[in-house]
Amino acid sequence: MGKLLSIENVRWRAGGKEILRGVSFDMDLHQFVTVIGPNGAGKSTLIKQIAGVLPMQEGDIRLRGRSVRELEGRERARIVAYVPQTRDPDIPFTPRELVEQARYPYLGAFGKLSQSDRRLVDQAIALTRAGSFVDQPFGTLSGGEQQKVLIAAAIAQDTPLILLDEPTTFLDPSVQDEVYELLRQIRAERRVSILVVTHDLNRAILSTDRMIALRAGEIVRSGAPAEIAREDVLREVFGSEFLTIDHPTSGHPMILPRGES
Amino acid sequence: MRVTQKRPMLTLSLFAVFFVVAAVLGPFVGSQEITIADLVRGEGTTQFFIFWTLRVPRLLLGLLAGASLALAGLSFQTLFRNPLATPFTLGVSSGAAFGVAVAVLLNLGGYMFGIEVTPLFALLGAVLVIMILMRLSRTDAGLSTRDLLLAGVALSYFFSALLLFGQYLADFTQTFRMVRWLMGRLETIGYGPTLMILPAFVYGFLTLLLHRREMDLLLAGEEIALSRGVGVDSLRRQLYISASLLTATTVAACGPIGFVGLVVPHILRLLLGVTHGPLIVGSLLFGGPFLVTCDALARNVIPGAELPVGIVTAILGGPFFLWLLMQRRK
Repeated sequence: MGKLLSIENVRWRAGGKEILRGVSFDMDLHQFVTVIGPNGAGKSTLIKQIAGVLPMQEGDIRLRGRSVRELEGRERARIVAYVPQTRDPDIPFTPRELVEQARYPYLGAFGKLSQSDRRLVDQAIALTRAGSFVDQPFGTLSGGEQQKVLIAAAIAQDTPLILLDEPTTFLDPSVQDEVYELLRQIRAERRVSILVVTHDLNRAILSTDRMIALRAGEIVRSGAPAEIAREDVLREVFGSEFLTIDHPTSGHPMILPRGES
Repeated sequence: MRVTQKRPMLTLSLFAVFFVVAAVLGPFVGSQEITIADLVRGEGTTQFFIFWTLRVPRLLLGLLAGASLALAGLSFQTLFRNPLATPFTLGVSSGAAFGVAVAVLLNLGGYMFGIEVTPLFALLGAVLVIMILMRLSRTDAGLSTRDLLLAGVALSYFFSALLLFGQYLADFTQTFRMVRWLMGRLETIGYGPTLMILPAFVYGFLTLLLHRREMDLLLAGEEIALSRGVGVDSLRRQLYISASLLTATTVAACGPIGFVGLVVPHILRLLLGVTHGPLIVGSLLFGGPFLVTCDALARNVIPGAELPVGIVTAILGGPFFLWLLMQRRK
């Protein structure tokens, strides 16, 4: 079977610039991993290659031991689901239609949704508490509602690995909490692995098992949140100064802006 | 607001009724009155001849052309994710018109290789444009829809200019033939033009129907489609080829009948929602009889004069579409 995800020396070049310079890491079942790093570090490029949104150049990505180069699109989509960063208000479908479309990798020749497809769609909508706006046009929903719909679609895709690109950007703090709560819940209840690209360092520290810090296309540090949330490591990753302080209830180190001295 | 809780099956059934009614009544419309009794009397009468050689071919051509233009418009709108795309956006019809201009200027007429010359040259002109565009929009990352759209619009203007140049060179009779062709019409003698469209229609209809789920995902967004396992590049190619062939054969057989390809997909979306399965079936069941009805009107609005249907589709289609748009906003 092999590991759920293994990334082997992935390189990516675009417009004469090296975006990824040999990235390697593994993920097992039931893990919650975040990729952090400054803008332009290559985080989104990496996650898009895993999702099949960008093609491979050098190196390899294996899903359950099989190279994405050999996997047919729908086979890959039965292992990994992707929640994109851009939420397009022009999407003309309703949330229910979007979630139903996520069953595409499993449809037979006639393209008809089965009873069990519909059950998974209903479960995903219930889990994300999207039921109240499921028949409204996607474009009229709030940012938080749109994000829930796209996460519901990824859940309905029923894969052991879910990727999310900046899932809390543009959302208010309470919705950010809801999104991470939802991710923890699906990981616990559905035993999936979650890989998140984010700038939201503190929520990553509070929720995830492992953090991977990318800088200029290379992994500079990787480890438990406590090993990453350190002033010296953050200086190395982001090239600027931060303060850390322990969270009053959970005890996790939290990252603060330095402020005026 | 539950705008998209439509009932596509009910609406499609109504379209099917419209289709049957148009197909049954269509051949009886025209300046020569024909009754069922005339047909029963059998061969040899003028009425019998008109019915089977002019009216029925015209009906079949109308049904196929209407359905083809609707499908082509739908495909281009999804391919470019742009509601303003029409079958003629990419200059396929300009290429066809240029082909016709060449045939007219060379005073070619009659048949060549057993095919009527004017539609043959129109088809060649259209296919020329399709192939140039295919070549121009090929990139390392696959078919670029942005380049395709830009190159297509540029090519459309280029061939329109060539057509004007041809008209400048032409004499009165030749110019008249070109302009008449440009108006778009369903007049036909025998089943030749229908048979020219039929293979492209069957191919296009089945290709689109088979890819209706992929088209939904493409409309939801390229990243979403790719991540759900859609082969986006191959899908785009298939959409481009299907829609182009539907357009090319229809234009070759009937001339550029405007507005059907823009308006029908939008009418269908307002009535059926945005999911492609019902839209593709609706293109056949509604697009066909829509054009046949426009043609029946075209032949009867001015007594004694049979207007080309292309004029009527544009005159009726435009305001009707605006009315529908306003209705939706209420």
